[in-house]
Amino acid sequence: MNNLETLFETVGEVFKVDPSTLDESSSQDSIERWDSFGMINLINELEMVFELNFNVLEIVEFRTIGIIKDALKAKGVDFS
Amino acid sequence: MTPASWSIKAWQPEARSLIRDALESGRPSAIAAALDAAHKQAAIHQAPAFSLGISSTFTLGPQQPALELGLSTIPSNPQIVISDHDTIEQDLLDPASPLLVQPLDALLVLWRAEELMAELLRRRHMLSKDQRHEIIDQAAGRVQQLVSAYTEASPLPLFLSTLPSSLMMAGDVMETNQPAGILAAIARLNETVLACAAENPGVHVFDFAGWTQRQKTGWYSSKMDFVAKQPIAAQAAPFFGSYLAEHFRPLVGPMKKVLAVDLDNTLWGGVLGEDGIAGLSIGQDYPGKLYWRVQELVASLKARGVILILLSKNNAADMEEAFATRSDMPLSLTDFTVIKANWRPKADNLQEAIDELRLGLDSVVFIDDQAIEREAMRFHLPDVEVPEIGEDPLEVIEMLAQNPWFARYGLTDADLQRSEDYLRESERRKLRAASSNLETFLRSLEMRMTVDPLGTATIPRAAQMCARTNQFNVTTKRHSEADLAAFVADDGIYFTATLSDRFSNQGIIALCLGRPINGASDVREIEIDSLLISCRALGRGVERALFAAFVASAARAGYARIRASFLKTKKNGQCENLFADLGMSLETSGPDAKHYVLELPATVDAPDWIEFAHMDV
Repeated sequence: MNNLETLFETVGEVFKVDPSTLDESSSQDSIERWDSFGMINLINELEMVFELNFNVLEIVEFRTIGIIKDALKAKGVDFS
Repeated sequence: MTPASWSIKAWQPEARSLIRDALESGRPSAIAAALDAAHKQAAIHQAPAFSLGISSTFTLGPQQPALELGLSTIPSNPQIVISDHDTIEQDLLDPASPLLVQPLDALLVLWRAEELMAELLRRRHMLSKDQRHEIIDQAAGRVQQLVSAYTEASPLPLFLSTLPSSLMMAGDVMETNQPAGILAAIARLNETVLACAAENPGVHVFDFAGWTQRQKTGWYSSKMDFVAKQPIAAQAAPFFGSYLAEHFRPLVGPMKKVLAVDLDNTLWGGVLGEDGIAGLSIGQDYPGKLYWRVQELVASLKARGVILILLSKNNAADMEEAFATRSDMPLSLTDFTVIKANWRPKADNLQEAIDELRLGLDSVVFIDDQAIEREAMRFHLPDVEVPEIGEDPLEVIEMLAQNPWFARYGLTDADLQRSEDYLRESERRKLRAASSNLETFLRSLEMRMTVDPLGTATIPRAAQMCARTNQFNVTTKRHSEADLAAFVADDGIYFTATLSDRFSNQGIIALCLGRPINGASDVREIEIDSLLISCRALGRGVERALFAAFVASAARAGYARIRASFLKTKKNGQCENLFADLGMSLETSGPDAKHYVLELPATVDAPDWIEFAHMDV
């Protein structure tokens, strides 16, 4: 599985949605369980899966999967 | 000890391995998967139901599955209901609170200095000694008042947590040496908690502080504390769940009564038949002191009423001689109710001993250093609890010291008689009488609400509230900052409200947007486009105060009619009847929406325990 698939898989697991229905524009508005509770679990899950730490200020921007992907990319996760 | 060593032996192997994954990783999805698997285990559905209500000053909701998973590992079918909005008095004293409307077996209050004494932590450098004392006295008084109001009204066992030390403060040398400093303040509150439990038979202590010290992976996440006020680190959450399991075990099922214990390499070091009495390792020096400690702990269990059985593969005469020679040891042979020293299988010996005592095998815990003996016991007598420890005396010491199998709270019979599936009507009436206590409490908060017109400074926070507020939000319209800026440039009544009380300033906690309806009628009408309140301000009468402010402004501005709608979502059920409760008339109603109207002028009484700072909107 490449990192993009891992990202979709992780989001899918946390919010209990089929990863194949997700794309980079999937957001808080399109995913029902992505509320403030879900957000906390998503961040914890991503930090464990990708073995990295988000800066406390980055998290506030995480509204879409695309934004999260960019944040992961900036931390050296390869999406090529 | 991990929950994996608890009573999950009746689970399917796949479910057990999912639990292990969840504990090792702490990943929320692994926890969810393990909990799903747990729910499919027949063992859980046969276990006694246990329903725990938690009222917490910090966020715990997202970690509910981890806590439930922990509680599933003792023989129980658990349900956990969490109110984590720092609204403890409302949760415990209002019979209509989200916790008390549930059928509960116990209530747990989790609190920390960060919320109970927020002023002290945030402004500590600016406070005089007297001010510090005042804050500490107020917080201690609040705990005492809460407990006395609650115990008058409710028969449910109440567990009060100790306050953990504040990690943000650890190492602050000046603060440590400060009279009435944080350390002293936390110690004082913990003393208050302990005293409340000592004075009230239905109140018990939950040692939250003890867990934070014991948790090896680090319990605290400063990042998530800032982001979401969720201090318990994700990796630590399942362990907190298993700590809950240890703690609440006595309420869930019958406790163990018998400790059956091996002798060689368990109660002393060495093998009597090979090493001789002189070769045994037990005494005041390492390594003998490990076994000395084990014996002390076993002796203390006996003092608490646990029945001891000795199961040893030794010649009885040799064993008697060893105990006689080493009469200085904490345990003597007379401490054991039954002694079986022979070469028969231990399961046979235990079965016989239990029959003699007329007890059940399910009341027995068996400890042995040899894996093969433990396995044999599990195979022959599956009802006996056989923890997977023994080789390492330190693990035995930790387990005996934590004493999960034989714990008692010093509960009275009345406490132990677990509540029916619901609070009985008479109890509910008593609780209702206690709402006068709630009102007394609300009054004592000295709440002050300020209503301000929505403007440049407050639009970002207002948009954030539109995006995030799900529960107390009548229409759930997700307005952006640009939308809001466009509204205020137009006609209408738009305001935010801030709330402060004598404990803290909560900042902006509510938003109300009133938009004129153009041309629909010959009278001037205004519609409540949005009305939302942050969870942390609920249960205080804020909604009524807010609505009173809106009605007064609308009348002043010359409107003749107010319209309002409730648009149902999956999350906003708690404000479904808001407008009816506030005195509006229902005009039309469908499955997903209700529309209300109020003719002006009208009077809405705001609760007199909230003082308005100003109302110019």
